[in-house]
Amino acid sequence: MKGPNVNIYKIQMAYFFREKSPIRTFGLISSLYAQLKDVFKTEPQSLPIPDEAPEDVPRCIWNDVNTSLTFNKVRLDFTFNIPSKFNWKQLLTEFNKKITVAIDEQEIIIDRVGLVSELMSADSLHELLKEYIQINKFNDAGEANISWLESIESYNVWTYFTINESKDINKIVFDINSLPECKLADQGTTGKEAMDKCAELLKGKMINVL
Amino acid sequence: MYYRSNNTVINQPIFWSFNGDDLKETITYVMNGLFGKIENSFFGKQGINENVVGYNKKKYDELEKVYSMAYNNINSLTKHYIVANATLDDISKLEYNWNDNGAQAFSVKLIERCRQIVSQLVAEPFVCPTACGSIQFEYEKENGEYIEFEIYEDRIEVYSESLINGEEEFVLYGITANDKMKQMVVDFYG
Repeated sequence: MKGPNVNIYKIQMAYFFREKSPIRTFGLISSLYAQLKDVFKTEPQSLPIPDEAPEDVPRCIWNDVNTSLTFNKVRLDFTFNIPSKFNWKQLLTEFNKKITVAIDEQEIIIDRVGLVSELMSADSLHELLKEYIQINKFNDAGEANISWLESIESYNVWTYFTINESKDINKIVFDINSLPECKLADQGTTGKEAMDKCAELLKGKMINVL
Repeated sequence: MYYRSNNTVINQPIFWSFNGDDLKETITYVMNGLFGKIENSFFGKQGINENVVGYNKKKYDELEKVYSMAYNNINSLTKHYIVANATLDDISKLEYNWNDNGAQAFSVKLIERCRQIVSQLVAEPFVCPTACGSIQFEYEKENGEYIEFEIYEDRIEVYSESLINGEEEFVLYGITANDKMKQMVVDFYG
């Protein structure tokens, strides 16, 4: 099958902290600010949450037009849109380095990473897929979501296709993440290395989407 | 057993970002609820020590609900763009001759298309109707750079003025037009 012509529009990097990690909110914000102050034109917002609050309640939110960062005591998420003039891989590598430096400074251990990317397709996904799937046979469905999973080494690689012709939605999402049972630190792998590995897998998927 | 990085992201991939107004509302809501709960804990009939947060299961459960709501709300925050959507509401109510010069009313299909586009944009546009039947989305920066999209049912006409490329004008067609427009807004602020 001929693969679609795609480019990446948006990327989310997720870093999962080791359970019961001693996260000091202000410390992590300071470290992140030192690394990312030139990336954001805005200031990070520390949420006034007591220490007793559940771990998954956000402690910090930092938003700009094309970038967004949030963390709680379980994970840190960084999302960025990719302007056409930039190379996604270079941006990802740069951001990964900065974020992991900040996390390392706080002596937080990363046990797992995830990389979610949203792709635009210049071709009609429906046209490409209709040789195999006829969406209009599914009770006149207006939208089709098709997904499948591949396991590559110790990483899950999910592929999602979403097609809605009436709403002009025509996109692909890749979700690449390390297996929770293969804790990175126990494998001797750093969060930075694991995220770079996810980026390599993404690069491979970009070449061979289907 | 299979895992995803973030189920919320997968279900709603376009909703990763937060809107300032939503965030403010959410935080206000959470903090009001939180302070209310804490106040109740401290000034309840049973005294301070037995009701301090974390030591009273019932109170803690209540607090946890508040936190959970905050978490869920924050994670499902979408870019509502209240002004842009309100303008689209107003435009949808315009009738024939709304400009006293014979302009047509706007179709439901066009309004829906614009709503769909608005929900995916990284920044809120200034929205206005045009007499030629399109709905215009505009962005302008302090340095004078400007981009406008005239959205029709079947196409999007683009006009831009940038410091590097000067004036440009072209038309987007087809299923990828919305995506291309979305990318152009990213590039405008990139």
